[in-house]
Amino acid sequence: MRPQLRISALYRHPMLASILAGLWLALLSLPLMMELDAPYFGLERSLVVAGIVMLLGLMRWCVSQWRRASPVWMDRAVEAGGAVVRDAARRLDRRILYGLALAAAVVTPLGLNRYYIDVLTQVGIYVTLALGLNIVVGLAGLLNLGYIAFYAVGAYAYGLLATRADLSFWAVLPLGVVLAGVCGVLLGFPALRLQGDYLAIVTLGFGEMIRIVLNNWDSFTGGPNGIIDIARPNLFGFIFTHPIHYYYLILAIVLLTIFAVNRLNQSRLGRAWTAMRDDEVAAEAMGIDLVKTKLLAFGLGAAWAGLAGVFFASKMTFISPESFTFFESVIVLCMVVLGGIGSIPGVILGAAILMILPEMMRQFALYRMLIFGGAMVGMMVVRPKGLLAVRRRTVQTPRQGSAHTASANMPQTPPVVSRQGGGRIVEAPVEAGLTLLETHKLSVDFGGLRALDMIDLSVKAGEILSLIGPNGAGKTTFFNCVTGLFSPSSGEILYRGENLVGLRPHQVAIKGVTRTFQNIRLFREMTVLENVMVGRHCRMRSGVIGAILRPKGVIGEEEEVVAQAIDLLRFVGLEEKTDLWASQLPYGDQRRLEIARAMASNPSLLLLDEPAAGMNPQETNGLMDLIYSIRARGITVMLIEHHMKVVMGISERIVVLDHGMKIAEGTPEAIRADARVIDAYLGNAS
Amino acid sequence: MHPDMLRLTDVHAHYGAIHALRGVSLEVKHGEIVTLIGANGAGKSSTLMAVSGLLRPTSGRIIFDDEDLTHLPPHAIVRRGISHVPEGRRIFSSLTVLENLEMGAYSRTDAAQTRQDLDRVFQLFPLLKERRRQAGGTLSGGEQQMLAIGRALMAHPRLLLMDEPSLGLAPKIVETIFQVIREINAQSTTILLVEQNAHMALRVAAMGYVMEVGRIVLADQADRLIVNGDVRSAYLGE
Repeated sequence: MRPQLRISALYRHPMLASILAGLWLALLSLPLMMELDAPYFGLERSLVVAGIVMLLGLMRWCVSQWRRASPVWMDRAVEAGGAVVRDAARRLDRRILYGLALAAAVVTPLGLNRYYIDVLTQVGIYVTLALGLNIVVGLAGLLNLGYIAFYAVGAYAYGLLATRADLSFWAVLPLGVVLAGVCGVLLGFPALRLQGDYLAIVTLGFGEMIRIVLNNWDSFTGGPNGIIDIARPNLFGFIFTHPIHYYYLILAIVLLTIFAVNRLNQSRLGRAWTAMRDDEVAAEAMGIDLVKTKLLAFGLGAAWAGLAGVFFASKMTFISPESFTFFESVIVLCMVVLGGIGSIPGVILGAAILMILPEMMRQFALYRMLIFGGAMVGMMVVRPKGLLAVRRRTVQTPRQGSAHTASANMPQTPPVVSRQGGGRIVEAPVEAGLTLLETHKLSVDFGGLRALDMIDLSVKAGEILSLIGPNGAGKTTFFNCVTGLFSPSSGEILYRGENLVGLRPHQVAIKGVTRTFQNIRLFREMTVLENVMVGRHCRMRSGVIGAILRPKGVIGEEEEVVAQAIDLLRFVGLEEKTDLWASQLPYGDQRRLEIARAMASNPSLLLLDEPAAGMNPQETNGLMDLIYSIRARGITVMLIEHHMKVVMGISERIVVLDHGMKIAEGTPEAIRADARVIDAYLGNAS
Repeated sequence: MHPDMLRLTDVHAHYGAIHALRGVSLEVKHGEIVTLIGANGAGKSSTLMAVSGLLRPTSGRIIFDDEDLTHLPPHAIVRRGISHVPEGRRIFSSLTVLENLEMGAYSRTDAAQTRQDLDRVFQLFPLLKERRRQAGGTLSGGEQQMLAIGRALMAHPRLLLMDEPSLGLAPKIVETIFQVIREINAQSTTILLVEQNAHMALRVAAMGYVMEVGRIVLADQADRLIVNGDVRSAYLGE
C-alpha cells in the first residue's frame, strides 16, 4: 500500500504534474501543428506550447511553496503590505480611473482605421450583451443558454419595423428594449420552477426555437435570406454612415448599461437577486417574492439584449438568422464567466478579450480556434473565478465613532432593550390575551409517512412557547407548514384569524411571521449588514426605476434600512461584525445573525428553530436574555429547542410532539414531571 | 512508541485574512478521550480540520504516531488512521445508510476486517441496521449523527475526531451518543472531542483543553477543569 501511495503522491506533485500536462498537450497539439515543409517540421511549435504550460505550472508551484513556507511574520508583512496597497487604491479616487478609461474610449478610435473601429464597435455590442446576461447569470444565478434570442428579437424588431412600418431607429430603440424584455419575462414563466441544468436546457431550447422560427417563417422574416436594406439611424437629419458614428453611439449605450447595471446591483433588487442566488428558501422566507424577482431578472437581462439587437440591425443594415446561433449565446456566456461572474469591469474585460483576441490571431488562421480554446482553458485553470473576480460591492456601515463600543473576546450578554437609545424599530404593543396563531387538526403526509397528525396548537400574543420532542417528531415540519414552505395535507393554520394555508412563504413573512432555520441558512455571499437588510426587503418600496434613477426617497429608504439593520445587529450583539461576510462568522454568531435578519421585517411572531444549537453554556445564557428582550419588544416567540436549560428556563408553556402527535402541553414543571415526556424525550438526564 | 499519539506544535492556520489558529499546541495520548472546549469562533473546529487535513496549516507541525501529517491531503490522513465526524453530520443524504457506511470504508482493501467493522457499527447502532436500505437524508437528526459516527468508524480509525456530536439532538439521544463515545473509546479508539456541551464532554474526557481566540489558554485533567472557577463561569454557564 505504501509504495503505491508514494507514486500517486509524486504524480500529484505540482511541478511534475505541470511537466506531464505540458508533454501531454504537446502530444495532442502535434498533429495540428506539424507542417512537413516547415523547418524542423514545425515540431518546435508543440514544444513551445509545452514549455509555456510547464513554466506556468512551475510559477504556481513556486508561489504555493512560498506561501506554505512563509512564517507568521511574513504572513503579517504580506497582510500589512496588502492593506497598504488596498488603502492606496481606495484613496486614489475611483473616478480618476474611470475618467481615464472613458477618455481613452473616446479618443482611441480617432487614430484608428475603419476596420479597427468596427472591431471596437463589435466589442461594444458584446459588452452590452454580456452585461445584460450578467444580470441573469451573475446576479440572479439563473443559467441562460438562449440569451442570444433576445438579441435577435431586438434586431428583427428594428429590421421589420424599419422596412415595413418605416419607423425610425429612435422610435424602435425603446420598443425593441420593451419587446425583448417582455419575451424575457415570457421565457421566465415556464422556467420559474427550474434550476441549474434544467433551466439551462429550457433556455437553450428557447434560443433555438426563436432562430428556427426566424429561419422558416419566410413570408414574415425573410427566412434564411434575412432582411436587407434596413435604414441607418438618422439624428435630426444627420445620417450615421461612418463606423465612428456607430462607435460613439454604442459607447453611449455601453455607458448607460454600466450605469444602470451598477445601480441595480447596489439596490434593494440587487440584494434580493444575490440572496436568491445564495439560498432560495431563506430568501423566500425573508419575504422576497421569488416569482417577481426571477422574472425581473429575466426581463431586465433580455432588455439589454434587445437594445444591442436594435443597434446591431441598424449598423449592419442587413440581418439574418445566422447571426443568432447557439454559438453566440455561448460566446456571450464565456465573456461573463471568463471576466468574472458578477463583476462589471470583469465582464467588460472578458468581452474585450474574446472579441479582440480572435481578430489579432487572424494570421494563425487554421490554429486560431485551437489557440483561442487553449487560452480559455488556461485562463480558467489559473483564475477559476474569472479574470477580475471581485465580490460584489457591498453596503458599508457608516463609520461613526459613537456607534462602536469596545470589543471583548469573551462572549457577551447582549444588551437588553432598555439600553437601546432611540429605538428606531417600532415597538408593537403586546396584545395580551389575543390568540396569535392557531392550528386545527393540522396534518402533513410525506408519502406514506405521517409527519404531523391532527395537531391543535395555539400561541398567545406575548408568550414564549417551546416546541420540544425527539428528533424526527415533526417540530420543524410544523414550522415549515406555518411559514408556507410545506402545504399541509389537511387542517388549517389561522394567524390573527386569517388562514395561512396556501400562502407562499414571502406572503407569510409579509403578514408578520418570520423564522430562523435549524441548519442555518444565511446568505453567505453577503455581508452581515446586508443579510439583515434583506430581511427588511418586504417592507421596502423601491423598484427598478427607483433603483436606476435613485431619487431622494430611495436614498432615504436605504439609509433608514441601514440604520435599522445596525440597530438590530447591536441588539443581538454583532455590531462589531457588520462588514464581515456572513460565512466568516462562527456558528453561534451565525445563529444570532439569523435572528436579527428574521426580526428586520418587524414580525409579530418569531419562530426560532434550535437557536441554542452550537452555543456553549455561557452563550446560551446570553441567548436566553436575548429571547427575553425580543419578547420585550412586543414579539411573540415560539421556539424549537433541545437545550433543556433554555426550554425550562424561559418558556411559559411547552408543547411536546412525538411521532407527529402532540403528547403533552403545559408549564415547564408539568412537562418535566410528565411520564410520557420523560419516556419519549427527556430520558433520565433531567 | 511515544506516549503521545497526536502532537500539535505551534499550529497556525488562516481562512483568507482571518487568523483562525494562532499557535495551537496540544497532545493526545494513546487510548485517551481529550476534549476541546471554548466559545464560538475560538478555533475548536479549525483545530480538528487542521488535523484531518481539511484546513491546511500555515505553519507549525502535526505529528501522528511519529509521522508528520502537516502537508498530507485529507484522504491520505484517513489512511493513516484518523477519521473525522464533522460538525453538522454531513452525511450523504441521497445514498442509503449502508452506502454511507461503505463510503467510510472507501480507501480500505481488507474485506474481512471491513465486514467486521460493519458488524461492530451495527452492534453499536442497531437502529442503523434496521434502516440500512433507507436514504440517509430521511433519517432523523439523532439517527444521522449515529450514521456520521458509524461512517467514521468504518475507516477503522485509531484516532476519532468528533465535532459537536450532540448538536441539535434531544436530551435522551445526547445520553446515548455519550454512552457510545465511551464504548468506542473502550474498544481502544482514541478520541479528540469538540463539544459545546462542556459538562458532558468534561465528564467523559481524561484531558481538557480550553481555547480562546485561536489559542489554548488552559490545559488540565478534565476532572480538575470541571471544578475550576474560571471555567465554570466562562464555559459552564454557572
